[in-house]
Amino acid sequence: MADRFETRLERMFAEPPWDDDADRFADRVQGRLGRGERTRKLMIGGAGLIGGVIAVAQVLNANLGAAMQSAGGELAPVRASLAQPLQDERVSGLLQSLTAYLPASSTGTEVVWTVVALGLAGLALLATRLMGEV
Amino acid sequence: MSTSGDRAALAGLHDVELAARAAAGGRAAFGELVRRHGSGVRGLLRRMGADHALADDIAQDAFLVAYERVAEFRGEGAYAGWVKRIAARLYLKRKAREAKAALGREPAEPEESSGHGEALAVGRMDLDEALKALTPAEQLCVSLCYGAGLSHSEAAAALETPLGTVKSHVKRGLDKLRSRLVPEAAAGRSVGG
Repeated sequence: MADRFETRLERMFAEPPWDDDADRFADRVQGRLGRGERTRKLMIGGAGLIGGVIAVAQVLNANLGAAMQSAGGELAPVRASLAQPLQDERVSGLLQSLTAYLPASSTGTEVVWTVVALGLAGLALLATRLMGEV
Repeated sequence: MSTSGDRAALAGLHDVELAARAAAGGRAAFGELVRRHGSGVRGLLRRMGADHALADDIAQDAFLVAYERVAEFRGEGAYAGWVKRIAARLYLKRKAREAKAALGREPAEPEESSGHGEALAVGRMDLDEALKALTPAEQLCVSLCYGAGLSHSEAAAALETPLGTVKSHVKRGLDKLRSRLVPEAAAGRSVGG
C-alpha cells in the first residue's frame, strides 16, 4: 500500500520536468513519421514496378509474338472485308486508320504486347500505391 | 498542415479522443498528443539515467511505436502512462544492447553522491536533484515503478533482474528520496523505528 510520500512521488514524476521545446519535439516526431511513410510508399511502389517489369519480361519471353504474328496473318482478310463494302468515305477512312494499328508484322506484334505489358505494369504499380495508401 | 484553429480545437480534446482520431489516421491529433506528453516522456527517460540526446531519441521512437500501436490504446489508463511504459522498455532494451556491446570492457563504477547531501537538505528540493543522490540502479528502479507505473514484478521482468533485487533498490532509493525531499519525516521515521 502506497504511503503519502509514495503518492506524492508519483505526482512529482507525473509532472513534466521542463517544457522548453514541446512544439519542436512534436515537429521532429511528425517529420520522422512523414519520412517513414514516404519510404514505405516508395518501397511498395518500387516493388510494384519491379514486379511489373518482371511481368513484361515474362510476357515478351512467352513467345506470344510468334502467336500474334500468325494471328496477324489471319486478320488480313478481316481488314479487307471490313473496308470493301463501305461506300462512305469518312467511315472507310476511319476504319483504315484503325486497321492500320492491327499487327501486320512480327515487330508490330511485339510493340502491341509491349504496350499491353507496360499497361499491366502500370496497373500493378497503381494498385500497390493504392494499397500503400490504405 | 494543421492551422492554428485546428490546433486550438485539438487542444481542447481529451487524450482518448485524440488517440481515437490518431488511430483513424489523424496526424494532427497525434501531433497534439506528442506536444502534450513529449516533455513528460523525455523527463522520465532522463530520470531513468538517459542523457538529453538519448532521452530525446528514445522518446521519438516511443511515440512512433505508440502511433503504430495506437489502436491498442483503449483508454483504460492514461495515454501518458502508456507511452511512458513503451519508452521505458525501449530505454531498457537500448541499455541491454549497450551492455552486451560493452562486454569485456571495464564496468563503470556507480557514482556515489555524497557531496551534495547538505546542499539538498537545505531549502526546497527538486525531484531531479534528489534523484541524483541515488545509484543508477536505484534511480532506474524508482523511475520505472513511480514514473512509468510498473509494478515491482513488471520492473523485475523488464530489467531481467530478480524481484528481490528490484524491491531492495526501490526501498533504498525511496529512503534516500524521502530523506532529501521530506527530511523531517525521514528523521521521524528513523527515530520512531
